[in-house]
Amino acid sequence: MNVIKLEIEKCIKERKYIAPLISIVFFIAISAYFASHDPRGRDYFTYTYYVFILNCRVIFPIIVAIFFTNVLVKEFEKKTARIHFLKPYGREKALLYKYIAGSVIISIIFILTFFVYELILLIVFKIKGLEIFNIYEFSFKEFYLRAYSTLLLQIVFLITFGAMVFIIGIITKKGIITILISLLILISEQRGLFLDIIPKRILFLSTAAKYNYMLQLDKMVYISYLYDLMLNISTLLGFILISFLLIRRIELD
Amino acid sequence: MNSLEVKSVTKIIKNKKILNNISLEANDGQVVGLIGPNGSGKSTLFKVITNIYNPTIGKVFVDNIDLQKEYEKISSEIGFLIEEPSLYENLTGKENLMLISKLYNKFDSNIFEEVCNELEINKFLNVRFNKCSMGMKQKIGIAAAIIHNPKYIILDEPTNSLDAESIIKFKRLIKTLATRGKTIILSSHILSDVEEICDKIYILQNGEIIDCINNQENKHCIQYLIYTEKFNLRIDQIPIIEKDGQKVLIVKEEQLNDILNMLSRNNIRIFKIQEKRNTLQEKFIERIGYNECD
Repeated sequence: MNVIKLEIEKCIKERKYIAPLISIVFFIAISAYFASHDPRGRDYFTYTYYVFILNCRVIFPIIVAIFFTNVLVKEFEKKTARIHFLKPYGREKALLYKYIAGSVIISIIFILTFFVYELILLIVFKIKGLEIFNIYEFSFKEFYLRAYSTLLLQIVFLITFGAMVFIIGIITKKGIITILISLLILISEQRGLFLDIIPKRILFLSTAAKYNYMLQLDKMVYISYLYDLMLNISTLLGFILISFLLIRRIELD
Repeated sequence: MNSLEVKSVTKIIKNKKILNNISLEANDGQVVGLIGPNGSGKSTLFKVITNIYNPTIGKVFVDNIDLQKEYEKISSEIGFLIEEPSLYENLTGKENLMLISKLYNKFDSNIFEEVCNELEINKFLNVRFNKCSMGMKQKIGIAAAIIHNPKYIILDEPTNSLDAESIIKFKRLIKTLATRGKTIILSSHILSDVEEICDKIYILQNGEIIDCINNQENKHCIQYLIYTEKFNLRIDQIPIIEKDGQKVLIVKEEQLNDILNMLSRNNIRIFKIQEKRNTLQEKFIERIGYNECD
């Protein structure tokens, strides 16, 4: 716990949060602009939620790729991996602590962004006199359950994607190559290039933003949702295991 | 059993043999020097000793613990500075040192203060590492190697970028650490410094250890150069060279009387006898050769 705290402190002191924050401010500004100009008849909640989750397919994975590369690969590039990975708790735990610290930071940034984004757009909608909330056929409780369970899946998806970035980073040890490969994988998935090799049912990448339409469904598809959540968690555990095997074998130089 | 033992280590990187069957030993309280030309494999050997590299063949034992298998057990007892100081650029010197000692779970404010005072780094501890000069960085790098009070200290060219005064203080610090039972292995191209502080010196060339010098014995080893007229006599185990038309016999102290008697018996004229104390530099040149030293 102490090491995770130190790792988070280090990330904050090294200002590794700056790049994600700039990207998010940019993201909020653009989304707010579009929302205020073209809400396409949707109410505030449905619209902002739709735009936010949809962007989880593109903008947030890019932010995650850059952030996790910064967290891990910079250690190899600056040779500080020697400090971090040659400690009494071992390379695997050092990697895990780093990953947990990175995941905590990215989750906080993600959740904060969601609420700040919602707040900003609420103000924009109010000023513009646009519809705030449509009467749904389901209750408020159901509404929040759907909204937050989707958010949870996105967070799990993002940290799973971060674990994949870690694996690429351990192999390449080069920041720019790690980011490029991660983005290439992301684009390839969106273009359906993986489907010939990996069935969609077991491809965690295909779960990104899958439930952005959740608020518009009459009946929520919880079974499918839980399956995708478990798929992400098991992929995440698999990635961590692979990272452990790799970090034990690589040379820290 | 030695407290640090490198056993028949070979390291191959990209099909190139960087280290070839290296063995070395270091005991408690011993300062061991590693010298050799650039590219001889010193830094690679340090990386193997600190587990940055895994040896291709061979093993490293620290306190009888197999470093590659059980590094975690011994890692807090190893401190190192290899090549340049590898610290976090955006943190201050103080933050870096605090981080390291906390990661080892061995933060001790007394040791922290002592190390900072000894190395005189207090005045720039609050400067961000990337704003420090090379000398400042080097001092903080040395401090980072010893801040968690390790038993084994590995320093690769630690006096790089240090000014003369700092080098003197550094040598004093190393001697103090050795008297406290620390085992120190260091490399340097400044042979007089190595000679001054090391108990044992390994000479490395092309990835192989070509000599191990007991520095105490070497310091007391006196040789005599006997300049004589030319002769055809064969003398076993005595190096003889020709210089300015004269023969020069290189004789150890204990051989001197016998050789002088033998020369006298054979009526060989002696021009002069010169006393020569063996310096590390001479020994190094003798083993490595002038071309490599260039």
